[in-house]
Amino acid sequence: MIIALRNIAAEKGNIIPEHRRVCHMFIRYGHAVPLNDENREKRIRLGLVENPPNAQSVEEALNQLQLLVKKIRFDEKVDFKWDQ
Amino acid sequence: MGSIMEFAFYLGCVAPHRYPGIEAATRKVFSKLSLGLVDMRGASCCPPPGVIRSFDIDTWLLTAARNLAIAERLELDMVTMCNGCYATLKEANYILKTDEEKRKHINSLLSEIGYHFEGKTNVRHIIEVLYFDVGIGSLKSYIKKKISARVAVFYGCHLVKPSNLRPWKDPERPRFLDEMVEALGAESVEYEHKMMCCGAGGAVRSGIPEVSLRIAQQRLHAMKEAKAECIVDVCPFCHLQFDLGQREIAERWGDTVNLPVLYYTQLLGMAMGLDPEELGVYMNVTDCSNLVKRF
Repeated sequence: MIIALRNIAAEKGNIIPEHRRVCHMFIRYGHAVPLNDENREKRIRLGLVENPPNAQSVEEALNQLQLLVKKIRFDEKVDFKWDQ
Repeated sequence: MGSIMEFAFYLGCVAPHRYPGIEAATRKVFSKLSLGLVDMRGASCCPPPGVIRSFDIDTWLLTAARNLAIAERLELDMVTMCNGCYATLKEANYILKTDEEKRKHINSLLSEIGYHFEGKTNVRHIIEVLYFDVGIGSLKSYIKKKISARVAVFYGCHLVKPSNLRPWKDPERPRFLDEMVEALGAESVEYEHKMMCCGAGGAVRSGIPEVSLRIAQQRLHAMKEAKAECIVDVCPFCHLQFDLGQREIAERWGDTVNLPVLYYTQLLGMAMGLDPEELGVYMNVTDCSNLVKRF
């Protein structure tokens, strides 16, 4: 019930900028917390692959996710700008 | 542990992208235990229940369904290191398996990218696998070094709740993780409000950092008062909150707690005789070196 009400509030635009930014990361990179150079370097030092084979590094996967986001219009809900 | 068990390894975001030591430690420990981890190529963010589900249930369910479908294609059960991912994927899996209308709706969207949710995978936390499939008795047989330390065990919220979708016997006062830490020779200390949130989840850390860090600060001081020498957690986001959070608390309020933070597979790996360096123990923000010297 609370989640349903929160969804309605979001539909009316009640999302704080900090949370909107998290949603934008999710759409842009496929991950709410994207990989950065500092952690790429740590991964190499640990003997892991530099880029894990996830949506951020597999282009086809990110395209799929972004297609779904558009289809369901989540991008509009969180005011995501595709050209920025 | 005769035959090799394999799992689809769901990485999530925080472990591979902020605490790769947790990923490295988990891979090494699972390998030692002859448990196979198969990468889930193209998996995305779970996505988080606190932010994405709160704002749009269908986006949350659809994204989770795609991740579940990747594990289904591998014909493996999925295993995750993160309590938040565990919550999303386990609960989405349950909804999609039991709600035919939702499943049809999500599958019609998934068909756009050539995926289909069948309901053939199970979602498990690595702790679930270590506790139930390996077992404490078997884990003990791998121990080469006794961990002599007073440990504040931290379960996190989503590992144990909602209890109807979790395998543990006592979600209010669980003991399984304490037992798993004690199996390594450590002492699990009791502390005030042990089962309360770390303060990071529910989108609080990203939305209201001051409140989030005050909650973490309360947990940290309760652990210190119980004379804990380190924290052992099982969620990369709780880990980040306690580890990076200690630096943020010191910067904001001048409160230096100095409590080393370890993920369970980092502790287990050291008990198995693995090199702390390879387990990423020294990549944590908190200084674990004095503690580690004693093991």
